[in-house]
Amino acid sequence: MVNPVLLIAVPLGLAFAIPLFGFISQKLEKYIPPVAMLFNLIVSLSLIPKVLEQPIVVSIGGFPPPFCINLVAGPVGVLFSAIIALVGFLVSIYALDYIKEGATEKYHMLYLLLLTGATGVVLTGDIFNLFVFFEILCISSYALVAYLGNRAGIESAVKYLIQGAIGSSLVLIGVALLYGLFGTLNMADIARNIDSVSPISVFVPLVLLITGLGIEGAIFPLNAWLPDAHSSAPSSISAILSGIAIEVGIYAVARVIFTVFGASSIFLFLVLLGLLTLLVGEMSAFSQKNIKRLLAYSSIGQIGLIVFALGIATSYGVVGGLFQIISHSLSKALLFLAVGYMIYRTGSMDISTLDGMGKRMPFTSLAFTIGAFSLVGLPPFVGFPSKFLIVRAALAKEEVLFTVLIALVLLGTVIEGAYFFRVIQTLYFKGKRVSPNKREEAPIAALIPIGILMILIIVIGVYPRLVTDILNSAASELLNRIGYIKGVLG
Amino acid sequence: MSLELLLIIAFGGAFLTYLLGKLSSGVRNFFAVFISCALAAIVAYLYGKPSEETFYLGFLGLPLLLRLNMLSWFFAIAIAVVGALSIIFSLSYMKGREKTDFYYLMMLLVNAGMLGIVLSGDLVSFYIFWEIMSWSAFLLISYNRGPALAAGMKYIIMSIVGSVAMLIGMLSLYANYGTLSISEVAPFVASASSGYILFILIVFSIAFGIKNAVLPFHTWLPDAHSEAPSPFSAVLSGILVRMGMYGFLLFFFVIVGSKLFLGLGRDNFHYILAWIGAINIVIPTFIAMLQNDSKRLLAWHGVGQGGYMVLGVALGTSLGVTGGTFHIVNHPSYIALLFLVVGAVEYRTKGIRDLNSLGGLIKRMPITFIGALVGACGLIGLPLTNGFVSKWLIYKSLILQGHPFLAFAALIGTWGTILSLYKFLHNMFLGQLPEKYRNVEKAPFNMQFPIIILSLIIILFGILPGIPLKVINSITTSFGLESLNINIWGIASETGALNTINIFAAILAVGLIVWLIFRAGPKAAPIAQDDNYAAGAYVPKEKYHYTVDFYNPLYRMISPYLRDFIDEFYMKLARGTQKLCGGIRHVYTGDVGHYVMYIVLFLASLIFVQIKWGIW
Amino acid sequence: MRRIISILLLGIIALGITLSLAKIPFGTPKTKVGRYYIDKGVEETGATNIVTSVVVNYRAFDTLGEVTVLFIAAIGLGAVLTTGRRKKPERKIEPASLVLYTGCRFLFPLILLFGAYIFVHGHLTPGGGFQGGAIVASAFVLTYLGCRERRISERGSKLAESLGGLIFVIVGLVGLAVGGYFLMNFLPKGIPNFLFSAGIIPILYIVIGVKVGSELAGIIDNLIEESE
Repeated sequence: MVNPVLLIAVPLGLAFAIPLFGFISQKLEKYIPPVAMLFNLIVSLSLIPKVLEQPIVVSIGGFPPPFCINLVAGPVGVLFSAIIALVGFLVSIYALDYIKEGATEKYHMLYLLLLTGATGVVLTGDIFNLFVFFEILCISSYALVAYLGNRAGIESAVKYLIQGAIGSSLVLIGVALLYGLFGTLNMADIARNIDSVSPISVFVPLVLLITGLGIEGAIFPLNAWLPDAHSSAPSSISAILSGIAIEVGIYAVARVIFTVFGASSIFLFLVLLGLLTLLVGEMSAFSQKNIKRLLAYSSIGQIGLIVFALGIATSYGVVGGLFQIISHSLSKALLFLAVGYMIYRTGSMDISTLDGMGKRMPFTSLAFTIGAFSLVGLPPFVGFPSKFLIVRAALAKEEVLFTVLIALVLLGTVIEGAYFFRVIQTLYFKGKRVSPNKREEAPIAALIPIGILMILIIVIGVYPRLVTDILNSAASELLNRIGYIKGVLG
Repeated sequence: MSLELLLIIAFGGAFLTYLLGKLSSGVRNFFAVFISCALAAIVAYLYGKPSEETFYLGFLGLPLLLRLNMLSWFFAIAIAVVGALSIIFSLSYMKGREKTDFYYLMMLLVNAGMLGIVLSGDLVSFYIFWEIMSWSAFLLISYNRGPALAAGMKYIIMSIVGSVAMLIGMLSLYANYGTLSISEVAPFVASASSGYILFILIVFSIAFGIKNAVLPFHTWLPDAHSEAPSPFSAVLSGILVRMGMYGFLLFFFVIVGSKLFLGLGRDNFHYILAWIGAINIVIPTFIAMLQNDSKRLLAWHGVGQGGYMVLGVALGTSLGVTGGTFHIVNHPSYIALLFLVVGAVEYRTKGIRDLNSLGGLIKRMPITFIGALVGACGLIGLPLTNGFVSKWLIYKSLILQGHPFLAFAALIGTWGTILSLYKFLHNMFLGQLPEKYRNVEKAPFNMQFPIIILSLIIILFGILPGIPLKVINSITTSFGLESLNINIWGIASETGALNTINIFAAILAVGLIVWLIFRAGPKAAPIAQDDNYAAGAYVPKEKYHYTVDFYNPLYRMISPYLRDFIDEFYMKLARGTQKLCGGIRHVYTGDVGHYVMYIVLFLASLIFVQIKWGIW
Repeated sequence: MRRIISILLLGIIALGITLSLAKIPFGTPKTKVGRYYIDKGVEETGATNIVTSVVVNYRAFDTLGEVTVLFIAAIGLGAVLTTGRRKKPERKIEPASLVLYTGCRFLFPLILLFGAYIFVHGHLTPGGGFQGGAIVASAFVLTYLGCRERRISERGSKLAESLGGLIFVIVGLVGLAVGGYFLMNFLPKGIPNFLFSAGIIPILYIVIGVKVGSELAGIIDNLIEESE
């Protein structure tokens, strides 16, 4: 059996080694992230059949669990690490050609470290270790947002940094309070003892953690950094931030609420928060003229939908939420990658300058269309089964409240459809007819990941069975606290 | 031939057509025609071979079913025929335009989606195909650029609203009964509480009403129909919109069942629906009369004719449902015919649809004129056309049921139809031929061919209504309604007599008399335009007849009452939403100080709530 | 107004945290993991400095993460500064006085030695890799102040950073290969209080010291270049 710790150790080691490869040849550097992520992808996928039977608990350093750091490679962790590796791999191929200027060596190191941090967050079973990996994820994303070095990039990176730093300190205070209360940092151990302490003293660390992690998870009203950061980062980084970073934030929030605290009384609050996030995000996106900002606001909306689904907290709901995470990762990554070269070709992020792209960049435009259709939830794309599951979960509650709420959620979908369809019209039907020989398709290194993402979106959309097994057992891992505690502590 | 294969051919053929287009447009055109005709042939072959099969198990543990029965066959054949004819028509119409590969792909995809809808044996596949149809139709509506973009947006937004309603209804059924197969869910629904059935029916009625352009959900239709490429307008108005009617039939009579449907809400639900249908006949028909754009005029009739179908179906009697269902299949024959006529004229006059500037084309495009004439007669419902039979059935059942006001509304609708179609015919084909159209040629053969076929269908079903009525009768009896006594000429007396042979004879006789009278009178002689007496005024060389501002006095009289208030309301709503969205966006002020305040506020309020009320 | 609201909100948060803190049993031996480390630390890890045993052995994975955080901070700063800078302006260097110059050159090796002492003895005495690394970096700061034309070799510092991180990971992987656990202390623990004891702990601390030192020096270098 492959030890899941390799999912963290190997990319981390390779990231450190990038300058060493640089001494051999400068050209070699950019091939390290794809190699590392390919390794992670293969390992994650090979772990799936095993974790479906039983989660793999690995302790680090060889001491028994509460006393050392341990990794819990359950269905949730492996699912997320597979998504991270997949999207990370594809985006790193895209970056081979896309990232040409600036300190490219540092870009590739930071990129790989960001993904390592994300993988660490989803695999760790220790709350302080989660914080450490979270910092790796966040700090590398601050740097990468500012990578272009222009005014907008640096300004939004600083804003992101300020809010992210507040979040980190809140998390740290929360972790410290938990350690003070329980004398342990192991999540399973805390979870086991959580009921032994009075509600108010546990509630404060809980809200500190939700707030702190929720900032990275882009829950309204903690997500104000997102539109700036996602729109001014290089497009490959926007794809990662939107497709991975915020999902990992949501994972952390979910793990804290579901597993560590078992806070079932705030589920309804989570549902409402999700709905609010969704509506604010979609409505803000509606009147956007900047294409990357539009996608960023749409990410807020999608995150809202995920939080909504997780808040339903039935197995249908959690499966739907996790499925939505998959579909959002793939679709939003695809959209940002497609948009990246469109912006590169036109030199502007204004939607109105994208007219005639259907002729100039047919493949990229097709990719955008498919990504957008998928986000709106149209069949036969991956967004459809996930939306299907979420709506079913809400209606299976058989409460009038949830019927009303899901109607509001779907209202958000209508708005989302409106702005995405408008962009699609711009790509294909707007403006003057361009002469057909004016082709400026993106380079092949960009088309390969775009193509693979398109295929995945369609294949999973048509055949959701590919992921439902792992999603079902992931949902039961999140909902079954006792099982998790037993699995880790025996 | 399994249904699965049929759909594989339909969808695969669509994509293959696109790929072939990259090789050569000739091969592509041939293949597109071949695929669409092959589909029509296969569907025709499947007549009377009911089947049900599971075609896919991979979707979230739900078996997806395909099923063929009389109802779905009936719609499938209409889809396949209209699809094939409009593809044939497109060959010339689309020549030399851009993105033709894309156009054919979408045309065939819409077709395949619609076939999928009617062949679905469960609601998930129904929804999936419904959505595929919706988004491919959106891309086709937007195809013409310019104002088509706004029309496309209007269409797709309303369409998404409809799908949202459908999704809620469908998943509510699923959450309650654990199955979505139509045949399995029906008995559950039959035993549900009437409040729940009402909820389900209202939710689905929104979805189907939007697609069927029933008031107050009709506003997307006039724009979409008039801006889409004409062959697609034919498909759109003829059959795509009627998918809503298919949905109504499916839910009212198959899933809920006729008894329950008629008794719902103390008999009121279907009665209200019938009134909606009646209003839907009157207002749009009169709006149609005032249009000067030929496609817009037809589009409004598309809305109006939908009213007849809803009216017939909502009555729930054998005669009414038969009439409504027959009207569903009649409608594509003449409305598609008329859209194709407009398309042919548009093609020859380089895109002119304005009724004020056309005229006299009868001499240049005689076959097209005959098509227009037959189509207009069918739409009005003159005897010896199929439109007569279906409208007659609806009137008859209204009278038998004792709904004089509804019958009157339907009748007024017919008057409006006559007036507006007279304008349509006259302004395009009769009167004086403008100078610039002196050299217009007749439509190419592949445009005339569908026009001729559709004209023949109209007359054939008008004289021998027994052929389709037999199929429809087996559908209505499968709904549990009383069987009608059908013969080839119509319906025998005990259930409501209709005998087209008598009518045929009477019309022949009257026609003969009229012809004789005209023969006896003096012959009219054409004279030159400047040969007129004009009291010394200059007689203009250009167009000189009264087609401009047709019905202008009437227009002045009724136009204040015929504004589309509903559309105005929606537009206001859209603007309001836009403003609201713009406002919401300013939550993100750009000032990092505010953002930090949000975080602190969030945290503090959570802690405050806990301290104050102790929620956890 | 805004200020009053902020104070009010912060007051509520402070109140919440206070209420939570009130329940924490300070001073009692309830913190069970801590108690375990105190009881078993020396025996299990061979390091007499219990803090070190926690940082580099029980929770070495966190330390690896923290080293990475610092690494990211360093290269992130470098990335932003290199991209933002258009053209290197000519540097105008005013040489320091002879006393300062000589003093710096004299102190430089001594400080390095002190830093090395701190991280080599991390498992025995207070201090360790981070502290030692900071001291090493301070030697470079001194050089920048005194011998202004000197620069650390970019290549060298890069090499130190990379190798440092890489060795940390490799040591962990060797542990995985030998004992089945990542970062396992696979070397003999030796006798407590001896320099050569505590297995991999001194190795890791040396690595950390070198890495932290070169990273901090690199950050300073970057900032100096930017300020000119």
